Amino acid sequence: MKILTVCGMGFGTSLMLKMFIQDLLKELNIKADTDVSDLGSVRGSQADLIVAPSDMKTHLVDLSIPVIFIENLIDKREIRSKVAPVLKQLHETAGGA
Amino acid sequence: MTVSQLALLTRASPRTVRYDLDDLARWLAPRGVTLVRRPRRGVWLEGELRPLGKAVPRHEAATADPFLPSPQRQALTAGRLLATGAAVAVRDLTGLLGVTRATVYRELDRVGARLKKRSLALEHTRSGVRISGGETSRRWALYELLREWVLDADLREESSGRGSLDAAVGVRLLRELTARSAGELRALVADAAEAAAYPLTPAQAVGLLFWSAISEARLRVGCSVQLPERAVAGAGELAEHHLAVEVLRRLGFPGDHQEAAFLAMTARDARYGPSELRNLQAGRGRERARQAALEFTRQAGCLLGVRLEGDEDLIRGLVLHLEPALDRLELGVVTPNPLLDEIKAKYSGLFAVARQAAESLALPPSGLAEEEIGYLAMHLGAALERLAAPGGNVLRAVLVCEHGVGTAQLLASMLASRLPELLVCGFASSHEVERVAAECQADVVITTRPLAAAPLPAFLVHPLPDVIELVALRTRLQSLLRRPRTDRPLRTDAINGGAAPLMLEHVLTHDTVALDVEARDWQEAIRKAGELMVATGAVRPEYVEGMIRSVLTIGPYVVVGPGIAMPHARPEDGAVRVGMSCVRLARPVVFANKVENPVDLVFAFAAIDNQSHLTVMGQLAELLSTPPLVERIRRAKTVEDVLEVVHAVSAT
Repeated sequence: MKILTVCGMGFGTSLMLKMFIQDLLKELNIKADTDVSDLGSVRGSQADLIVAPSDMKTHLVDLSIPVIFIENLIDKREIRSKVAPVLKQLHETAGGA
Repeated sequence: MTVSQLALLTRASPRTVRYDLDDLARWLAPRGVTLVRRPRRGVWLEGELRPLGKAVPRHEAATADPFLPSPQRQALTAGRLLATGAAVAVRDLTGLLGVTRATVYRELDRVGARLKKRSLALEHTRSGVRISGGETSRRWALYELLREWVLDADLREESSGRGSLDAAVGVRLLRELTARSAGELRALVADAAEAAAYPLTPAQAVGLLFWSAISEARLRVGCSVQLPERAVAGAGELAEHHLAVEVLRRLGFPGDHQEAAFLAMTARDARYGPSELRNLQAGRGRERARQAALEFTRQAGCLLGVRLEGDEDLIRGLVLHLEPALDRLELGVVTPNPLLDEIKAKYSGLFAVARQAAESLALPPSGLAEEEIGYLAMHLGAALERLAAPGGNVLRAVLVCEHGVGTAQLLASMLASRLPELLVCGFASSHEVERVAAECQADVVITTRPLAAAPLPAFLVHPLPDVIELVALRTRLQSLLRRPRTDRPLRTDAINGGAAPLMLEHVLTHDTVALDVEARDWQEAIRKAGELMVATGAVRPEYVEGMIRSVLTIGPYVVVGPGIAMPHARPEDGAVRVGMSCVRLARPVVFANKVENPVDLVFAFAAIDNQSHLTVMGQLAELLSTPPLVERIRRAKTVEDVLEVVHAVSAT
């Protein structure tokens, strides 16, 4: 499973997001690849899930991949409440891989 | 020894050896030594032998010399044959070389074999021996002969031929070609250059001297070059054409277009001295070294949290060092580094970084020796020093060192580390100084031998200077620096003591945290935060504008949480090191159009790649996502209070 976090440049806020998600994955005991990206590289990425700041809603439309928008990037609870269920779902559909 | 053994040893025929022994016996007799010859037993010396130095006679050039070794004989043979138009009788060659016919024939075979590689053929005719082939091939063969045998010494003085055997050959070869002396030729060429207003490089002066002698020799026997129309037309466009015309006029052969074209082309060719040719040949080794230097720089920069890739001077310095170092590695040779212990003691952090960066290079298992790593560490140190004092106080220097490539490298590395305000931008031999200095825009010349004339202020150093000499050199250089430079020790605080990752407390310090800062709008807020990073040298001033631009183009997403913004720009926008600043605004401001979330805490940061700030980012994330900690920052009364929070997070 591959998860992509997005921000404007690919090494700032997306990096923080990625770290939070990595913590979450460890907590849920799910294995997945996480990576960062800037807006431009999202479409070619072949990710299974995208997590992005809610400011980017207008930029990330019409994607075939599920996107989760986060209001408060440093709020671990928000991230957990929004991302965890999707992670678990994807994990089960992938056959627990 | 037997005569046949001597014949083998001297590569001459037995008869030549016997003649030589006759001469030797005659010469030794009055010196109290007898040459004894017994059939089937051999030859030996009897009597009191004086020290060998006195026994060996000094070589006198003018006369045919029986003591010439075979390579020299071949050179003279080739020279005579190539220069003349008609066939040369073997008799003349025996006279020229002072050897038997048999020996001459043997040398002719060897000469013929070499010339064959240059599309020239040696022919035996009834009137003697001659060389046939294209005129240009012939002249190039002569040129190479001259290049091989004529020494600088031959050209400088009116050589009397005293000294080594080789000196005599060079002078004699020139004499085969022209009655003019080297001095006269040199003057002729210089004169022509002046008349043509052509700036001769020293390498060209020598090359043209040779070509003039060759042209004269061939034209005198009526052999001129035949070039295709295109070549003649093309050569007419060359800057060297006028020069060629002037040379030919002075030689006594005016008006020949073909000859002028040829001379112009060869003059252009002579612009390159031997070191460039060596460089061109060494292309492959250079490429490998460059790749290694780039990788090393990337790794080291990542470890240090400093953006080093843009430093071309660092790359060049590393390439200059790595090229022979990689060769040495293959051969298993290690050059001693007299400063190694000092480096390991005083710059242990740098050394550790250099070692780790070097380990990442794909090298044979033994890897680079510590001595080499020491040098690389020194180059890194100089690069960091240059970053600490951007844009000024650097003297560019050409290094003239003729003690061999290894010593030149060593000297360059020493200078790179001890005198960071000095930048070695080029290497030159003594006759190319002017050209190389101009090419690399040097300010000074550093040389290990006194130069006859230098185009720039020149400083003489010992090839392996000790600390005292380097300090003295530094003092002398001070007077040339445009601004006075205070002696600052290397900023070891910029190196976090080793290869441990950069932590939050390294970037958020007393200098980069500010409380109750006034700002009228978000742009000013970003500027104030950015200024702190500029002041500590983490970014260049233009980075701050980059941060503002990124908010305008990508949007207010830099607001990451309630009241918290993390503005940043791309590394290329002017980041020098991984850096961060924290500014608490006196009054919250609205960032872009995020009216609902005014910001009072601004964490500006700079990254240099997508890796080296991982730990810093992680710790900041930890901090920001822990509300009690954020509250502490908001309530802090002093910067120390904030730093306490930072330390707490860094400790985890």
